[in-house]
Amino acid sequence: MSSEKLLTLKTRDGEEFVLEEAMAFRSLTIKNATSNYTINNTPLPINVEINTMIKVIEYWKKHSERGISEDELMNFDKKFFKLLHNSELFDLVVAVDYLADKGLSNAACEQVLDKITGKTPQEIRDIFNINNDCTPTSLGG
Amino acid sequence: MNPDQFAQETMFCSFLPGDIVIDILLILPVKSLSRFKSVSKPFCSLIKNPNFISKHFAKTSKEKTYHLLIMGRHHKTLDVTVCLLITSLTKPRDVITPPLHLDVPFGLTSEKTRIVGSANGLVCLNLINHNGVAIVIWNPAINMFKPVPKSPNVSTLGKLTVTDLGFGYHPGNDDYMIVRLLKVATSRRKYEVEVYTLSTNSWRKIASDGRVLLVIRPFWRPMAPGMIVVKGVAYWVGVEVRNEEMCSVVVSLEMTSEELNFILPPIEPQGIVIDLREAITLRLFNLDESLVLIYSTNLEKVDIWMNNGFDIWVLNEDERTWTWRFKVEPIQGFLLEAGFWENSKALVAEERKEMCYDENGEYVYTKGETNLFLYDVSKGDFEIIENHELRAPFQAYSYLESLVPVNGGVDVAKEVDLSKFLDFDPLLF
Repeated sequence: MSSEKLLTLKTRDGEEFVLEEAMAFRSLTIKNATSNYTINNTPLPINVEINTMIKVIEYWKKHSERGISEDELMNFDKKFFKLLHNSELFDLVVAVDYLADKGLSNAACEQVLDKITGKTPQEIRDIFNINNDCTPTSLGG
Repeated sequence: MNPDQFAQETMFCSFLPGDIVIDILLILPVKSLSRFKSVSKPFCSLIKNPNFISKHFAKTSKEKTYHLLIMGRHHKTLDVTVCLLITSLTKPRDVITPPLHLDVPFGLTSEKTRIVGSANGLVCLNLINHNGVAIVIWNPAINMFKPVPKSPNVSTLGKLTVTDLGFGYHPGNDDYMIVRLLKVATSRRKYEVEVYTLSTNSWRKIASDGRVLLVIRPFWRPMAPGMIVVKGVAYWVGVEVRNEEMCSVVVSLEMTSEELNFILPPIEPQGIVIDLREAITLRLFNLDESLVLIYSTNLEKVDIWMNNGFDIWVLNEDERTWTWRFKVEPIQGFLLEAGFWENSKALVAEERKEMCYDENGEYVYTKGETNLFLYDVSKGDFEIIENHELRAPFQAYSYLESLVPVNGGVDVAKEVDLSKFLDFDPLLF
């Protein structure tokens, strides 16, 4: 029987959910927040929306599995990120930056890096949805 | 504007906050970052920001990836070619990427084009053609270069020729400097030193008290730089007169304060001070911001580099004493192309000559081929470098790409009239 301590969290858009403390502590932000005060069952608010949090938890769950091999993890990561739209990826990057989980943060940033490496300026503008404010003369060296 | 403020207040894109965008850009290679300059004005400002540039370079330096710039002649076209090689130590085994051929400033064709040095992604080249000598500062990663102006300093001592050049970075001034040792043509012992700084784009003469003397260099390696710059201090091997005797010294010149010092060579275990004039192998290096001296002597065989093996000494913090690091055992048949020495690896070349005969057994010609290897000194193993397309002789230099701009520089594709920058008599270099 699992005797893991459970934590209740509340997202920015008002959704409450429960997570094992050990897993939640992958986020330094959550870990520090809980050590600062004792929670008497009031949910800990976090500045992340539920849809993004679901993805974070999916990642954490897989990476906490016992006996999983490096190869299996790599395959999971590949599929995990492949299924994200650009906007979902960016939301994830912002969320993980806030949650302060180095491992997932590095993985997510690498994905963004992959998307922009080798792309032309116009392709980069499309990915980030930026307006082209550069005139030919302003592009000097 | 304070860089962190800049990060928070600038809207690079609507999806990601500024500081995350910057964190991502800090890991991008220079080529990709250069493209970001054309994405939008905020990105352009960021990439040109000196603070961002030095942060980015600091990150590049921390990775265990060594870049190597190799210059030589293309084996077929005989054009001067520069290749960039990257070896990464973060993978389970060293991975050498196939050499990348770089766009070289104004189509160098001179036989004696030399890499003087490299620092923070800038490379200094010395170009010699039949009209004279020119010095160029080049950033290969952003394709910019700048010819260095002629020195207006005229010697009161007579006609001057250049003995040696060094290039380096001065961390105290955040500036790049070229140091030049000039010999008076008519005298064996009169020398002058000049220093060029990139920020002022000008030369100044270093006050000389006449003590700075000869540069010692093995005569069969005229392309090897004799001056090395480490943290704003230029070093070269010279000869000083002490008590009416000539003794070899390592000269150090702090380029801002102009303080000149003579450092005695290393002392061998038996207590004898090495006489650098007896060297068969003699070379100075900047290894991780320390001065390294490579030395061997073998009076029986006049042979080159690896065939003798050599000792490696590092100058201590006190700038007076040396620590012996290790000995490289001799290996037959290889030529050490010094200039690259990173993490116990050196670039070595092997020249193979094959005599080609026709069907009657008559000698037709000799086919030459040059193989390049990365030789691990501590393990004694070789890793071949494929597809470099170069032929001996080469020069190699440790190099790490950066965005550092070349002040007043232009794009490598631009035609520049070199005649304004040519100086000195090329015959005597």
